[in-house]
Amino acid sequence: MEKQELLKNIRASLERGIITRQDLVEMSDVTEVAPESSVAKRHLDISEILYYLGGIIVFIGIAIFVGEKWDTLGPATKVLATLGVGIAAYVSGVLLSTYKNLERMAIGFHVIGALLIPGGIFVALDVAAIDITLGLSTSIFSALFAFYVVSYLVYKRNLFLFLSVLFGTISYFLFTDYLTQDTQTIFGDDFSLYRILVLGLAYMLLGYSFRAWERAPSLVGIMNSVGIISFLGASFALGGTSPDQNIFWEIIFPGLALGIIFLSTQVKSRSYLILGTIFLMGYIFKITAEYFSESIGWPLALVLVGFAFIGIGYGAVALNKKYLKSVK
Amino acid sequence: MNWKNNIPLIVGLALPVLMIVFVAVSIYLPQMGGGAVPQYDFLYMTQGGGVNTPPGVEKYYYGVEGDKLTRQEVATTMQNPKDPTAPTVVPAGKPIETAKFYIYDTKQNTSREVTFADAEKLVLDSRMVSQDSFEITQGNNNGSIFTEIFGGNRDYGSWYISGHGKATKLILVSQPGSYGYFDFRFLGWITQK
Repeated sequence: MEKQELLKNIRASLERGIITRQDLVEMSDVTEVAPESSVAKRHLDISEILYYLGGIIVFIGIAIFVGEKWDTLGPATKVLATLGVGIAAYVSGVLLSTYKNLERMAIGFHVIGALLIPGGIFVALDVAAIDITLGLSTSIFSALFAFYVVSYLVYKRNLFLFLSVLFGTISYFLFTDYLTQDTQTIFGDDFSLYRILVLGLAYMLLGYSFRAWERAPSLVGIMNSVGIISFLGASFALGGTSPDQNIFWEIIFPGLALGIIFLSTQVKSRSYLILGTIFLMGYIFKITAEYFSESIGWPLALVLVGFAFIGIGYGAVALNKKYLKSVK
Repeated sequence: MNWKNNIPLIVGLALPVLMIVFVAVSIYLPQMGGGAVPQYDFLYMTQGGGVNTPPGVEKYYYGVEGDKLTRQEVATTMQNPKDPTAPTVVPAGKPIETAKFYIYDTKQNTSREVTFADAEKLVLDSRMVSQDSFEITQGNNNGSIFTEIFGGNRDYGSWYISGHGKATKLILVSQPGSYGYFDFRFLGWITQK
């Protein structure tokens, strides 16, 4: 009865505005509040998926149709069939977005536009007999990145945010390739790994900042996972293997993996915990194989690794129960 | 915009930009400031070995002994493979000479072909690192999958002259049909012509 009394008082306070739902969230230390219409939201998510799929299937159909007739198409038709259709799809998506009941349908058209516009630009360049150099590709993808950033700022669509990240990533790699095409960097043979390391860290920070954005939570999981895999994967690879190991990265890696595991309690993300644990296990296996398998023998080394895995697994489950049980 | 709340976003966006700026500065700053210039040219050779190379066995093996280019005649006969114990020998193949020699001008980044007779007059330092601390290094694949798809050349297999914080790609001559970077053999730095 005490509990019922308490709940009745809380409900009354909520109705009178003395406390808010946000106050209840902060008190209970829960990061997400399940929306009241969660069932309805699930249905909407399924329809979004169908719109995305529809757009992709339309793109595949166009690509196959145009591809079959490619040799018979004139230059102008080639550009119209790719870049023209892409731009038309983008504009259609923008126009549909102005209607409340057709807003979500616009997703399909934006997907078609996103898939066709980059390819269409390269088709136009090919038709115009312009050499596609690395510098030109870099410029095109940087322009696409800027285009979708502006699109996101104007229309606030998750798809545009995703495309901004995608084209931004492509631009980053192409730009650094362009800078280093006739020379070598101070990173030497590990230049690609350092690029991926920096990008992974950027993804993790962006994933963390997207959590607070009302419209972007669906991207948070992808950004976190890709970011952690890139960051820890690159750090792991930079450690190298005996006899060419990099002592600095071999020593620092367990700290990074443990740091990611610790961060899972702060950012309330299961991806951090799971991936950090997997990489830590991988590191233990690697170090054991590298330094202990010959001295103590493989069987004993495997025993050590097994016990270490059991310990790490127990720790991960304990952390999950204590800090992340409320996270979906 | 509340800057304090958006620090992760700002740092996340700034990191790739800073990486690009850092790479650009580390490449172009040494070049802009002049920096050290290689003082020594080097001698290299190519031997083909690709689809255009005629069948046969190279007549000479080339090397550097002391500070001079030398060559030794390679045996062009071999034990009869059908009867290894027999005293008779059979030709290993038709003798061929595909070697070509080039002097690489490190200031102009150009190659000039020379004959073996001219090459053997040069005084060479066969160590990989020159007396002014430059060395010939092999390129690595700094290109990404995006470079492959969207244009640009794969760097793997290129050669560089590197030292004093910078590296310059070598514009080498290789024989038609040869296997690219396999067809480059550094012989030595030219200390005296």
